[in-house]
Amino acid sequence: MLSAARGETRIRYAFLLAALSCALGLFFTLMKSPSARSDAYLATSIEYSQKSEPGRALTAAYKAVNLDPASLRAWQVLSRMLQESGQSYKARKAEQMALRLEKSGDNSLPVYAMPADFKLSLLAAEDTDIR
Amino acid sequence: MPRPGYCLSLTATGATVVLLAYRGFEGSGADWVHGMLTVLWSLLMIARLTAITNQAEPIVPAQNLAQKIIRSLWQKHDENNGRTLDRTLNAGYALFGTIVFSYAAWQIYCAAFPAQQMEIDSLRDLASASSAPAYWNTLNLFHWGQGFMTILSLIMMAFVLRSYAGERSAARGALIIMASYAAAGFLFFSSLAAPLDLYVNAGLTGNGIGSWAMLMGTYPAKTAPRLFDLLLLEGGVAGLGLLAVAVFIPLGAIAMSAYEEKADTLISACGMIAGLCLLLSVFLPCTPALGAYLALCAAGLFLAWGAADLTPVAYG
Repeated sequence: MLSAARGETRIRYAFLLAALSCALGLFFTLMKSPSARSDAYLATSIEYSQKSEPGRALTAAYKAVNLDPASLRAWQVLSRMLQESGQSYKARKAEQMALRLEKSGDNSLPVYAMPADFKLSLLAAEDTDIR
Repeated sequence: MPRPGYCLSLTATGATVVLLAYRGFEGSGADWVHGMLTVLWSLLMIARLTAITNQAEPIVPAQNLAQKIIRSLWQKHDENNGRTLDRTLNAGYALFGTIVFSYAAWQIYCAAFPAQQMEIDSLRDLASASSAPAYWNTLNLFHWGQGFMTILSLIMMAFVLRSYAGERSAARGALIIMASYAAAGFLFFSSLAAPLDLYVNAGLTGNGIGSWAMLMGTYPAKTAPRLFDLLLLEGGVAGLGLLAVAVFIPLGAIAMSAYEEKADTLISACGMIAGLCLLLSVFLPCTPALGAYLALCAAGLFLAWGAADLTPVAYG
């Protein structure tokens, strides 16, 4: 009959490939990209701020910025949350990062260096309370 | 008359192209595109394999002429299926799959052990442990996963399209259309000037990650990088070589069948046009629309490969 003589092994491998790919693909439709997760954290942060929980809002805003340093909104929300927590110097620095991002596009500053750059600018100001 | 499964697979090709062009393959709105494409093509491959390996119902031993005719028709059906399977799951396809898998593995290796360290290592060291890895690990894992999904979709699309292309009368029409779109699309895309913010964020995890700034520095202002440059960053020259071999396997099969004068000129010509456009379009600015165009060229190439592949079929 057909299967026994026509190389059943390779048919099995082909089925295995197709079935595994289906499973992997289904799993991957559920995975979120960093920018999507960053947006989710931003929404959580704004929600917490509306419920008057500035500490959690700030944590969420930091996570959002770390996941997607290229997002302008993330930096702006971070600066707003810092302002609400009363850390106005850091809020100004975050605002400056947002302005830099807006002006230069993604050409000049390596986007992945921005969180580190932010911390560096805080270090330079001898501010000891760095999270 | 073309079979319904064949029309379905061509529709799926069109859906792939439209999905990639409309949704793109990067960005928060396109998370699910690669996984969805893999699911689509894996389901088609499962359906096609099931149909090919489906054996005829054993019938009553043929006593009269009518039963003999029906039995011989079913035997012909089984023979055709066996022939299709032999032509599709042959050594060339296995080689193609191996090379493309190797490219995925090499890409992951290059991302895990880059040849050049990031230029801002000093800044990275100064950052606290909680900030940088969140971005890098998530981005790396997601990016590798997407690349692997693309490779799987490609392998399965190759199988499905090749298995239908054995019936040359059905393949010719589709090949003419795909080759025309390949040629027209190449002219179209080479005349576009892509803005910078549309480029694929794929180069940051590649082999020569430190040279990203250098590469961008040598470009004129506001120019999008080419796919060739991104591939070079992703996997180096070895990666480019693997991809070139992967494209030349179908082209070689088409050329050999043309040399032996067993395939007709139309199939060879369409296959060559699609393959050439695929190879040359890596030098165009990389945008999601270009990704869709590459998928179209690849589909045309796979159809021509299936139509031209001449596996000697041995029957007992």
